[in-house]
Amino acid sequence: MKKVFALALGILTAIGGFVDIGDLFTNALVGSRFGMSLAWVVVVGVLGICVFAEMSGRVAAVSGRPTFDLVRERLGPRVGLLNLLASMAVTLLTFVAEIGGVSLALELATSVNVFLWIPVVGFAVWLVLWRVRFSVLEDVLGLTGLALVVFAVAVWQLGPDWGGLWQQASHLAKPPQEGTAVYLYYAVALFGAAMTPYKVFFFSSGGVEEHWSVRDLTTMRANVFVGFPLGGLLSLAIAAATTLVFLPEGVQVDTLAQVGLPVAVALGKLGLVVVLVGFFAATFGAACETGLSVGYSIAQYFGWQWGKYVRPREAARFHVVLLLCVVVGVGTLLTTVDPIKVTEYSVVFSAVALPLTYLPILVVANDPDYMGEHVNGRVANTLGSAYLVLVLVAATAAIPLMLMTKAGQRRAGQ
Amino acid sequence: MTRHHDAVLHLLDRQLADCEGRLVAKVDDVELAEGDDGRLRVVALLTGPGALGPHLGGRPGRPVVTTGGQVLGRLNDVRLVPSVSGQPGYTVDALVVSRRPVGSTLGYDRRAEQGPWLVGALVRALHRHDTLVPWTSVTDVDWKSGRIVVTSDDVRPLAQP
Repeated sequence: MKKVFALALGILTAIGGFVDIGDLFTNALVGSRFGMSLAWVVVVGVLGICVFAEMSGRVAAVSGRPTFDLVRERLGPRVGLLNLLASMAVTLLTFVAEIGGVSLALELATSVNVFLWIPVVGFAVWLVLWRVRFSVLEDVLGLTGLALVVFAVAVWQLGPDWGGLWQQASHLAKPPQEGTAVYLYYAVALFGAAMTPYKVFFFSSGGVEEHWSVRDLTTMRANVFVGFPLGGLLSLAIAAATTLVFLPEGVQVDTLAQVGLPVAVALGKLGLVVVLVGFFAATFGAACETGLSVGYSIAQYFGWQWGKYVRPREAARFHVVLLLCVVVGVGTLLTTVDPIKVTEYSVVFSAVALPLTYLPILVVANDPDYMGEHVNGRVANTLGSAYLVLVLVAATAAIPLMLMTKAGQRRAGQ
Repeated sequence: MTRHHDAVLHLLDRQLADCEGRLVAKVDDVELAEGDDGRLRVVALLTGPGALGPHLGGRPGRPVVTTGGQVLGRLNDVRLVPSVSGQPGYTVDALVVSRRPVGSTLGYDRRAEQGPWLVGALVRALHRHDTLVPWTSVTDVDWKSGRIVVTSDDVRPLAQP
């Protein structure tokens, strides 16, 4: 019974923790402009993150090595440093966006200006990272994040033409008013949002934090293969909700308030309350995850003691990095930069940083010196190789597409 | 088969931990010293910015040439075996020489079947001319200019058949 409970808890937190500000906003925006015609990218991205999260989780469970350990071991100090700088920049950008997201959610709930909330949120995130136990952090925020299921309820309440939605999703029917380059740009953005590198840094380091061993492989796989796809369904529900409310009006989602609007339309005040709780939990949880991920990757590159499984004084440098992250994050937001813009850039840049993260995982997951009998099977290798190619294509295309489309702006005169 | 390790693949960039399992630092460099018998032994693992810094510049390996003047490539790694005659530690047994200026074999030279096929095939193709030169073939190491002179007799391909 206890085992079943642990399994269920793991899956539920995986669902609730899957969606972050990048998924939330990118899916809502894409829904409002492209309907469900980019749903296939979410499916492809979610399968990709499942493949690599399972691999990195398995490496962590069998060899006790988190991802950035492998990055430096296999790519050497030079390329490892390049990857560190790239993925840190992206993760820090995401961290900034998440803190902004939490503050915006609080502003929506309280009507207190967002700039008053930002320092408070930064302080709260730091306090949680410093004091709260890892498992508590993951369980509480993951479970609260499940409030976002309200999007699925809202879609059902809005009583859509299911056939029409399926038609859009299955025929890749790009709306005629949008150009192909913009369509591809948002495909890369959605892909980057789903496969963002911090998710594997966090997942594998979390495995080490919780002392996974070979015996935990089944639990880990259940989290990945049940929890992540259900989290992906949440992403699709968000896209479907904005498709139904905004696409017919030709309104583009630009703010967090608009992301939540379909829920308010469908379910009224109560829905609004639930969706705000969901926003708060999802972004606050992801702020903790991204903050920790920056600390994990720097500490693992330089070999410092890291993690919340030791007391903060034993991992002093790790906690200094966390504190600096919070200071930089809050400072950046107080320059009045728009958190939503930061989110948009963070998901596209994360597509650029993907290959250098996923290659070492794939290589080490095949190395019997680390993995013994738990090396990749044929399915993991076929999918892993296919995604490596895909990730390379997305990484190469991301910046040119961004420049060509002026970061996804609508063509003039529309 | 004797158990061998490669210095770059198995020692460099590895995690150092103390006796209680706390993480301490990374192996940023490996120090080798020449013994009385003229062989190189691993004498220290170096750590810290002073050891890491030079590696960040991407300094290419030392050139390896034959006594006949033919350039075999650059030193990419050194193969280590446990020291004989009861001494602890590792002794350099062979040089791994690559024509590629940068990049390593990522461990793919060790097993022919190691997957995934795509990555394995690519790495093996890039490093198909890599060679292994036994230490007994090394005639001279010029520490000043950094050239390593070897006889070409026992040079063999690196990749496992």
